[in-house]
Amino acid sequence: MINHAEAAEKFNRDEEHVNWHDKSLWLVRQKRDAAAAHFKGWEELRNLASEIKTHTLSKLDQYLIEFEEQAIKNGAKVHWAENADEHNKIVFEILSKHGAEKIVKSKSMLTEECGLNHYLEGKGIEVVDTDLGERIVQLAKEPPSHIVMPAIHKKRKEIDELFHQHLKTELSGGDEVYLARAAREHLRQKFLNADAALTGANFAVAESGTIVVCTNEGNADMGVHSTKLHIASMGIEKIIPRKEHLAIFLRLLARSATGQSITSYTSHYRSPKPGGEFHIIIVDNGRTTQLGRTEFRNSLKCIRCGACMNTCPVYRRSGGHSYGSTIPGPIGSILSPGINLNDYNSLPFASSLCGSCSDVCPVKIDIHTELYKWRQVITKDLNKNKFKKIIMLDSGFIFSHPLLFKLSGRVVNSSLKIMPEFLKNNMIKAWTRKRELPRAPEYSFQQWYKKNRE
Amino acid sequence: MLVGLFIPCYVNQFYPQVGIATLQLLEKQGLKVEYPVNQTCCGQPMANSGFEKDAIKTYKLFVKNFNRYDYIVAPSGSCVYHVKKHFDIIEQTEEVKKVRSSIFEISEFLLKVLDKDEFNSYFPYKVGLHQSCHGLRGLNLGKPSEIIDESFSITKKLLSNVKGIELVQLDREDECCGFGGTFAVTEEAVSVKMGIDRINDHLNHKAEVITATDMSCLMHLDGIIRRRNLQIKIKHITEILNSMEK
Amino acid sequence: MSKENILNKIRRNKPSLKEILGINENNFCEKINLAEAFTKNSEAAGGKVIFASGMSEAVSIVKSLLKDFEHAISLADKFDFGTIALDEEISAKALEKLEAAVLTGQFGVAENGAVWITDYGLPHRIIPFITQHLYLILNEKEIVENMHEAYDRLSLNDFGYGVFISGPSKTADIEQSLVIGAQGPLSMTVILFRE
Repeated sequence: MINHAEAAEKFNRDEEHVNWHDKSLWLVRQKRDAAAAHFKGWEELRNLASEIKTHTLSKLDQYLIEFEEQAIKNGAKVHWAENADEHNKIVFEILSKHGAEKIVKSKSMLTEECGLNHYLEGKGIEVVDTDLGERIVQLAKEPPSHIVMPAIHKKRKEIDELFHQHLKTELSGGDEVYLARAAREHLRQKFLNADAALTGANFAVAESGTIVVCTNEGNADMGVHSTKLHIASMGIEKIIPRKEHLAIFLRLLARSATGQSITSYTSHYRSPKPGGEFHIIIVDNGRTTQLGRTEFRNSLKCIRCGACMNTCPVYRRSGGHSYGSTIPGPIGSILSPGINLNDYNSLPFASSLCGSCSDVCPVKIDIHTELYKWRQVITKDLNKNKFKKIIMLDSGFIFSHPLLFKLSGRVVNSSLKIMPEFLKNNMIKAWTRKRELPRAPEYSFQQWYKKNRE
Repeated sequence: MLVGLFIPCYVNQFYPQVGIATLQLLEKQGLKVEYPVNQTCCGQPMANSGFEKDAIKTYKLFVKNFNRYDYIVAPSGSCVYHVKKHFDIIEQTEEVKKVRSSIFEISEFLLKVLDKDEFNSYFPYKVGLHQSCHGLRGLNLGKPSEIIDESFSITKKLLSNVKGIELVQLDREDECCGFGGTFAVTEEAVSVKMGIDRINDHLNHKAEVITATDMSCLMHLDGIIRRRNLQIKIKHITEILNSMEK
Repeated sequence: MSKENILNKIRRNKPSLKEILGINENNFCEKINLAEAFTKNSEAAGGKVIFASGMSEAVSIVKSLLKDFEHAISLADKFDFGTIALDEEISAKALEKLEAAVLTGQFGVAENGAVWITDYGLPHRIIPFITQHLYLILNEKEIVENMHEAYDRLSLNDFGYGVFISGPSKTADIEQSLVIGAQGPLSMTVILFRE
């Protein structure tokens, strides 16, 4: 069970590091603002994107069938996996059939979710993550802390040491050009000697059976075109109906993610290369269940841009790892409880409900409302009394009875003038660790009103 | 026009001067204002903590107390937002619908309903405006920085007409202060850090006073300010609008 | 089996039918100078744009750019050139030493500086990525304003592989510091010619 507050408290012990992390991400948020304001129609694009996703979810079965038919016509092989295990087994079977032992992988949050690397490594297969950020965290044996910038939590000196240890580079003081060039040489060798390439999918177009993948580093293409075997894993929600919808989502994606108008490469994979094989694995892994939760199904609209993380004042000050889930931040906090309510029940509470996440979301997921709604589900489904203690609130009775409320007011005013009774001891303790309590005045407004107006 | 005055629980207890300023501001506009003395809370503390169902009694009491007024006005964007947005779980009777549609945060009420933006106010200080999230993003009191549209702000408009005031420009004009209700104690470390960062933004721009539409944000910020002995004060927006030249 | 289970679960759980909205592309139309915007956005993405007064000047510019490289190829219209023999059997490994490649861009997109190319006539799909430096020749007339127009123009059924390229490969994964030249090309240059 993840305790976000505890992990966040640890993260906050190094205030300078928190400041650095916060500023790095805030800069990305500012780039996003500038990119979005740079042309006409941003908010209309968001509306369209959201509506297209609503439509697509309402015909998801038909679009998946259409996609499969088209993909097969294009010469691809399509597989379906109900869960992570099945997905991993399918990948392994395909690899085994080809005798593939060395795999290069471009970024795919789905394969993170499925624990694919760990599974394949257990079968003796070498898996190399080829996005630089992903390679960094892979060498550090850590999960990504952000879905677009996986190593955003790492300082250059840490990366310097990591590369020194694993890639035999000289210690450079963290020179980014030197380190990126070293990674380039290292990864280009990995591409050219790999037996298969794995990618995720940013979008899957139903009408043509095309998979679209966006990268800046060119790593997806280097991998896919180096090898004879390409396996693309996609969640069922990656489907969009037609090519004109790609225009909408591509205009939004990179601007929301990094403030670029488009990534360096937007690759459209339709048919296998001559003499090669192209496999597509369509994965459910809990998504159909989320689809059935009327209050939370909009979370399936997510296009994984990470904008909600960059704008989130809590994420910026607690770090991606504090969420303990594959997808961190606000969107992760509404997706993860759907996967495992018990493990991730603290995540919907890791928010001040400021609502900025919903405002930046390119597909207009009402993230902060879903956070609020998950809170209602969590307190209902779990042991209520235990949970009341966890969140340290027991004020329902006092607020709902005017007499008690007045009584507690009087108690406050007559006893040491510190706090209303409803703030229990542990709340006071948490409040006062770094803050003063408000000063209790001579009279409440109610008392003043009765004296002066009634 | 009969106005029902809603004073949030913590304002009643800790900041009576904000309730008084709100009442006086409304009375100065020639309105008949009543404060139903049986009022308690909007239910937000329970609901935001995940106990929406336990708040239903509070919601019903709120509707009972306030449904007879033409308008309900409160010095809090957060409570007003809660009534508007989250009173959807009780039966939508005529009374409930009326309460949800006639409740206003005070600055929006002054500008949008009464069409007034000048109150003969005087406040000769450098002021930093903290844009409380529920007012800004929930009630659209202004354009949040992340929305790509024409800029506007009801609170800035009202404050800019105060004589003697100097509004400072912040680096982050609408980042959350980290109060967030029970978030302030359940996520204490992040909450405090968010508060510190907000205060520093105001201090870096030489603000002498931080103002907001919500006293809850200011209570949290003031707690940090006083613990650290920082040279900055908090004032609710109604206190500034109700300040007169002596 | 899994396919039917997934589809059945979707059928049970999906929301009621919501009709799709049409896209009114006029709402996104801005009266901009296409070549100017293309150039600005390409440069913002780390690309370089060189102007040529015509196709023949474009070719001579490319020729002069390639003369410094030992291993270079051109697959551009009206300019076949290569120091590496390109046959259908060529492997990615054999292309490892490729320093410069010249291709013809089918069209460009003003809003983001992207150029569309496909595998049509490409002996190996890895060429635009494995080359150290990429040169794309583009007719100035073939620039559309935005991605809506771009997708109106292309057909997803015309290629096995297609890609929008907006700049050189790049990364900011080390403390958000931009490094041009990640796993793909170190540079990308568009030679924009006017007919």
